Amino acid sequence: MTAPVLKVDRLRVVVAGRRSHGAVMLLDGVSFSLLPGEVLGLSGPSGCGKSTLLRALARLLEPAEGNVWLNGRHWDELDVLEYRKQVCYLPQVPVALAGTVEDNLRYVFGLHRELKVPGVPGELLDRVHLPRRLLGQAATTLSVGEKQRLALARALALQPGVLLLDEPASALDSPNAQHILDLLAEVCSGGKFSALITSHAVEHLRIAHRRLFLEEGSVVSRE
Amino acid sequence: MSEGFISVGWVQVGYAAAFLLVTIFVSALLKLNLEGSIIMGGVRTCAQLLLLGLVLDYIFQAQNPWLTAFIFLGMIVAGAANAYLLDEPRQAGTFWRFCGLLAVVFTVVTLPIGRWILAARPWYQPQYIIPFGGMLIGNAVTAGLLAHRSLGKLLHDNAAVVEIKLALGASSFRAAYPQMVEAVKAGMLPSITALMMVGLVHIPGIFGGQVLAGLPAIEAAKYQIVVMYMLTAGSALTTVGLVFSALRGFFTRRHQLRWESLARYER
Repeated sequence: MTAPVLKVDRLRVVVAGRRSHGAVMLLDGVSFSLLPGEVLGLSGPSGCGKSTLLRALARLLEPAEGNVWLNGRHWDELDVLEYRKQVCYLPQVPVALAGTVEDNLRYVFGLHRELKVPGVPGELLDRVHLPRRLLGQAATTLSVGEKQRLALARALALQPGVLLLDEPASALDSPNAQHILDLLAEVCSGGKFSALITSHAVEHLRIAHRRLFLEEGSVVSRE
Repeated sequence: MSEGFISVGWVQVGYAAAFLLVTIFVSALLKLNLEGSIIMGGVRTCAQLLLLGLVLDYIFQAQNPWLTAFIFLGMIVAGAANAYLLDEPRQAGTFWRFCGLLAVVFTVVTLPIGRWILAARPWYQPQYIIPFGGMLIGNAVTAGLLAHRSLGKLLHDNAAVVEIKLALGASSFRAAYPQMVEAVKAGMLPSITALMMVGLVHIPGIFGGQVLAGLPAIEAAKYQIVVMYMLTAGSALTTVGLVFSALRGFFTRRHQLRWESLARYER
């Protein structure tokens, strides 16, 4: 049996409510495994905890309980910055950093000196089907679809084992949504990446090998 | 009339109060509803400054280093308490953070001024060191507050960008560095502006005070130059120290944004 890349065991996220409101449970005992090269789809109604799960798995918020193992190592054994390099999160609304498209790509190499910088930064754009002429353009002026692909290129430059993609197609029109999903399927088919993709639209999860359905912070069914 | 300066008698001080009466009249005429505040402010100004004058006269004559140190301790605590009260939103750590920073800034900036620049004998001569220290602390509190507020607001407004940097593996320091730089600049802006404008647009207090006290204008100018440089150094040290120490309040030790801290900066 193949060992999972990511194993999640009874993850529970609770946040303090504002003012007189009590604590709010956002995730309640979520467990699953992600296999190498697998695309795992996560769906459910708005507010069910999909984004919270991804942010918790990226360790951008701290779960109250639960354990996560990355390639067999408990996440507490790993330096959190090293962990995030291997488990990369892309938010629903793509964020372009200040500077040009090339600056955005180079930011990753500035953070992680051990990464091999491609001879031509345009190679990273080729992988996400963005034209190389955009390299010198201010990243904040890109369209949402272009920013989404730039964010993916930036994440791929990290060479993470796991991609956590929050609604990667929700902000895009139909052709662009198809494009980015095909791109993700292509990227993961090589077996180097595994991905956890959320979407409230079932058609956006067609590239997923398995699906989990979330309701009120709990997994209610698996396919 | 005393030698070198014109002494202001109590009757003259009373005449000056007529300016406040005019202000109260204007307030009443225009229904500004500021009469109470003006009267209270006028009484407080008179009481606070006279008390300060009496206390300082005593301290200047006593020439006691411990008494001077005690006054400075009081100034630091009062400065930190004001910083806490004026900070928006108020945060529990502000008082202690300012206490520590003001103590360091005071030691690093004011003591060398007394010992080597003014070369007063003794170097802690309260007549010189207390006004300098007071100006330094007042200015440092303003600069620190501006920097603190700017940092919170900038991190709140750029939370998505900061978080994506964290997600890419940046440390909290690296992710927030552009906002830290902007916050330091915001805190330093009044001091830098004052360096540019002094003598051109406004005549600063210490210069005016010394000229009124009968000192040659060129001597007053030299004092003012020392003051301006001191205030700039004080602002720089306070803003940098504050921004670095406050960063921990916005991130967890696992380089996660503290959203509850940022939420305080929502408008």
